[in-house]
Amino acid sequence: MLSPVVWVKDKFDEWWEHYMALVDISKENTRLRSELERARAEAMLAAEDRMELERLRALLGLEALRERPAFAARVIAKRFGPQAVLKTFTINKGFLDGAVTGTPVVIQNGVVGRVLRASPHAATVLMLTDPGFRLAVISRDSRTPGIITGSISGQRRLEMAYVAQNARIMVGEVLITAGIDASFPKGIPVGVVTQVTPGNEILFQQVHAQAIVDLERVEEVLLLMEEGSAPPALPPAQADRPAERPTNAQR
Amino acid sequence: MKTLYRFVWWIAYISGALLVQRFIPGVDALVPGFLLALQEQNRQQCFWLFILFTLIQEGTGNLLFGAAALWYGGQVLLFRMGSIIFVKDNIIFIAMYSGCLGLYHFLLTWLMCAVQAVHVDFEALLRESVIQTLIIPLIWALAHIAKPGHAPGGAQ
Repeated sequence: MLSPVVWVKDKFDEWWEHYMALVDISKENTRLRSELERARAEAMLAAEDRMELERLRALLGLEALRERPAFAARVIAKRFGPQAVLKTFTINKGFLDGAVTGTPVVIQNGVVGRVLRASPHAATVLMLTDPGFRLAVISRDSRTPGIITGSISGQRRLEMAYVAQNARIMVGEVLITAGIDASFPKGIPVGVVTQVTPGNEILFQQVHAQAIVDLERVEEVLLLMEEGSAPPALPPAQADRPAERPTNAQR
Repeated sequence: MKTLYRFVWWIAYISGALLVQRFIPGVDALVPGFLLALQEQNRQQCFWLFILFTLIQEGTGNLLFGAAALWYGGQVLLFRMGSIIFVKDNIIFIAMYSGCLGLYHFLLTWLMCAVQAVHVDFEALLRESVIQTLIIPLIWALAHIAKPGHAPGGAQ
């Protein structure tokens, strides 16, 4: 007689427990979802930090650092506005940090450019590919000297001027800094020769090259200081405390 | 209250324009706002915007000082000359004004590069001048609708 009543009661208890469990599961689900989102964001930041660390480690392994003191800077802005005619970018170090006009700018792959002008805490870097850029180079194999300049056409195109007609420069040769202009140390890669044309009506060969560094993708750079000068000291607050994760504004 | 609202509007406009400039290098997105200020004939507002826009463009640019001042100064002159002949809120006037500014951008940049011995990529400059011409009426129309004291359709 009582069994249907007991059955109904059991079913009700079962349903009630499941309902309550569902409410708990829903709450737990929401909590886990938010934790997952947070973990994903942290994983993304960690991956970004790891890549940045790898780039900075590669920068510090640069050969030129054995000859010159250097300091790193971050690219904070690219070409901007109607008056931005030159191929430049802005870095987060200025003349108070040691980034004075003419300071060579490199990355682990090769030459990036040099400081065009500097304010106290930021500087404009003239890229290697700007037609106004000039740098004494020498080819790695045939030791052919010349002056490298940027080119109007093409993102990474360079032109090597004053190459003698009898020079045995070959396509595929790597051009390195000649180290004779007292700014860039000798031996930093600049570009790869892509075309050599004998000049029929001029005294020199026409040599085209491609910049080794993809300047559109540069995020951190190294500024090479003059020999014998000390690298800029960290501000006291930064030197005392351990490194913190940079904020978006610092990035 | 009205002054505060205007101030906030200009802050919002300048922020938006700088965002546009970030994604389209070589183009001035502040120009349509300056045109709007010229149309309102508020001399004080025009003066401060002239100073502010000149400093922004000179600071972010890499030519020697003077190009941005000539750029905005030329716009004032062009506007004064144009408004003698045309109705200054008319869309045809805006289209012609934009075309003239695109041409002016090309000539001014070329001239400033020539006097400063800076190599200029004429193809890129031409492309930017065309974009400059096209972008002015577009941003002007949006700003004209959104600006307090203006109603869609050009009536003030």
